[in-house]
Amino acid sequence: MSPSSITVNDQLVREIAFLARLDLSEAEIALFVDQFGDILDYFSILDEVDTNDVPPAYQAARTPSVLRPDEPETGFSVDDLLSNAPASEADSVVIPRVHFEQ
Amino acid sequence: MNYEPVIGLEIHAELLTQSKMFCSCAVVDSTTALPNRHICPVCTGQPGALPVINGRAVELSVRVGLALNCEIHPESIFARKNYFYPDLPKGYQISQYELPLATNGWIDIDTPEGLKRVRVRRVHIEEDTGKLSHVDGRSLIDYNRSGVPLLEIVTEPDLRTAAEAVAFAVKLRAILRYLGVNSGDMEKGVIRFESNVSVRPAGSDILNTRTEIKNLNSFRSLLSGTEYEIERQSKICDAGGTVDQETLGFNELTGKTYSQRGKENAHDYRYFPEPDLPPLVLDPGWIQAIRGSLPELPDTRRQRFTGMGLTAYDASVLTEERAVADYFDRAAEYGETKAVEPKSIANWLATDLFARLDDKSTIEACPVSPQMLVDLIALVADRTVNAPTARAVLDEMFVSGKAPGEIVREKGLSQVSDQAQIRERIETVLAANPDQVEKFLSGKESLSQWFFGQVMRAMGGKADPAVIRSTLDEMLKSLKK
Repeated sequence: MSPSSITVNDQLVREIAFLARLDLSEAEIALFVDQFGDILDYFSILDEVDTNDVPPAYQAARTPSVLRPDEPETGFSVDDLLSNAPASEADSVVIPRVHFEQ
Repeated sequence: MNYEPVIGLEIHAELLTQSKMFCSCAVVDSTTALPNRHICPVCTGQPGALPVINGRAVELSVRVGLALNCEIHPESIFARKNYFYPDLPKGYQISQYELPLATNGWIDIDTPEGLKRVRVRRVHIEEDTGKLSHVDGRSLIDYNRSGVPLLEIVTEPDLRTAAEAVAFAVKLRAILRYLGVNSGDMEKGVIRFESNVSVRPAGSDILNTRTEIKNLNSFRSLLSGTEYEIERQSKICDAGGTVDQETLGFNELTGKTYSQRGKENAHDYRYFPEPDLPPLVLDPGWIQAIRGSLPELPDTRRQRFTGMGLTAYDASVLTEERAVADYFDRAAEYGETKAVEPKSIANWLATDLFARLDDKSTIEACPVSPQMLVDLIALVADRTVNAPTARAVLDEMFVSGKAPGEIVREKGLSQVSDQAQIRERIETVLAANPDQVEKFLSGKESLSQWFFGQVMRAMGGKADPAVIRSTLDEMLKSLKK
C-alpha cells in the first residue's frame, strides 16, 4: 500500500495505540493524527523513484547468513533474571494473572 | 441440511536440538526442569541482544521439508510477528512469513475410501514461547522454553472429517519421529495441533468463514474438538445464522470449544522482515546431502514389509514406530540364517513381544534381542518346544535375559514327541476316567478336547500337541469299534 492511500484519522491512531498498548488522551490523539500524516507525506517522496524493475530488498545490508553450531552454553543465572523483574516467586517472574477465561 | 466440513491443520513441533534456535541456551524438558535455569539475554528479550541461527535446527527443518515432499527454498527470510503476551519477552516472535523455508509438499494418509493425498502449504522455522502457570490471581513465567526451535507445518484445507485430521496428525508424528527431529511426546507438549474448521453445504465448493481451534495437545482432543466444532457450525447454519471468524480454545473436560478473543481484538501481527537476521541462504549441495541422509520413511518401509509376506495390517503396526521397524528388520535378517519366516517373526513380535512391553521396558530397552526372539521361534519351528511353552520361555527371557535354548535346557522344557511315551499317558488318562470314556462313546465327541487337556496336563504341558492329537484320535477311534 502506498502511503498516499492511507487516511490518517482518529480511529487509525486509536487502533495503533491499542496495538502498542498506549493509553492516549484526546489531545494526544489529535496531535498524532497530524504527526502520522506528516510522516507518511515525508516517506511518500520515495514513491517518486521508479522501482518497477527492482527486486524487493528485505534488508539494507546484504550479509551472508551465519549459522552457529548446536552446542549449549551457560547463559545468566535465575537471580540475574529476577533482579530485573518487578516481582518474583518460585524462581519465576510474577505478573498479574493473564489467561483466556472461558 | 447435510454439511461438508473443510479442515486444515497447523502443527507446531519442537525440534530435537541441544541448544535453542537463536541462542546457545540448552533445550531441556520444560515439564521437569527448574524454572529459569536455561536463559540468557537473547531468549529473555534483553535490549541489545542479537539472535544467531542454530545450524542444526535448520538442518532438521530441511529434513522435514524434504520428507513432506516440499520445495526447499535456497533463500528464505525471517520475520517479526508482533504481539504482546507475557510468555513472549521481546514483544515479537521471530518466525517466517513471506518467504518460508519450504512450500508445496504433500503426504498420503489412509482413509476408509483409500489413500488420500493431503497438500502441505508451508513449513517454516520459528521459536517457542515461555511457559505461563497460573496461581490464584497471579501468573508465573518460566523462560526455559522461550526460544526453543519450533517448526510450523501448515496444510491446505484438504481434510474432510475429524478422523482424516487425526490420520494426518498420526502420520506426521510418525514421520517426525522417523526423522529424529521430534520425540513425539505429546504429553510434554512437543507437538501441538490447531484445527481450522468451516462447513459448507455438501456438494458446494465455496469456502465459508472458518474458526481456529488452538492448542489441541492430543489426538483425542484433535478429534473431539474438531467434531464438536463441525457440529456447532452446522447447527448455526441450520438456524440460518453465520459463523464468526474467531480463535477458539478447547476444554478437554467438557469436550466443548469456547471463544478466546472477540473480533474487536482480532490479531494484527504487523509482520516485517527481521532486521537482526540476514536472509537464510542454503547451499544446494547441503540440501542434496541432507536429502541423501534421510532414513527410509514409514510408507516406503510398510511397502517393503508387505513385500516380505506380511499382512497390510502387520506391516502398518510394525512401521508406526521406527524402533519397532528396526527391531523387525534385524530379526528378519537373522531369521534368514535360521529359516524363520518374516511372517512368523511379525506374529510373535506384534502379539507376544508387544504384550510383554510396557512403559519401563520399551522396545529400545527390551531384554529380548531380535536374535533371541528368532532363536525362540526356531525352537518352536523345529518342535523342540510347543507354543505355550515358548511363551513361558519368553516370560523367563524378559526376567533373566537368558537365551531361549539355555532356559529350555536348564528347566528341562524340551517338548516330548516320543509317541510311545505319549500313548502310555493317554492310556492312563482313559483308564482313570471310565465315565468320560463312556460319554464319549455314546456320542459326546467334544470330550476329545477334554482328554487332550488332561494328557497335556499329565505331561506338564511339554508334549508335542500334534502328536497327542493324532495319537489320541487314533486311540479313541479304535475304542469305538
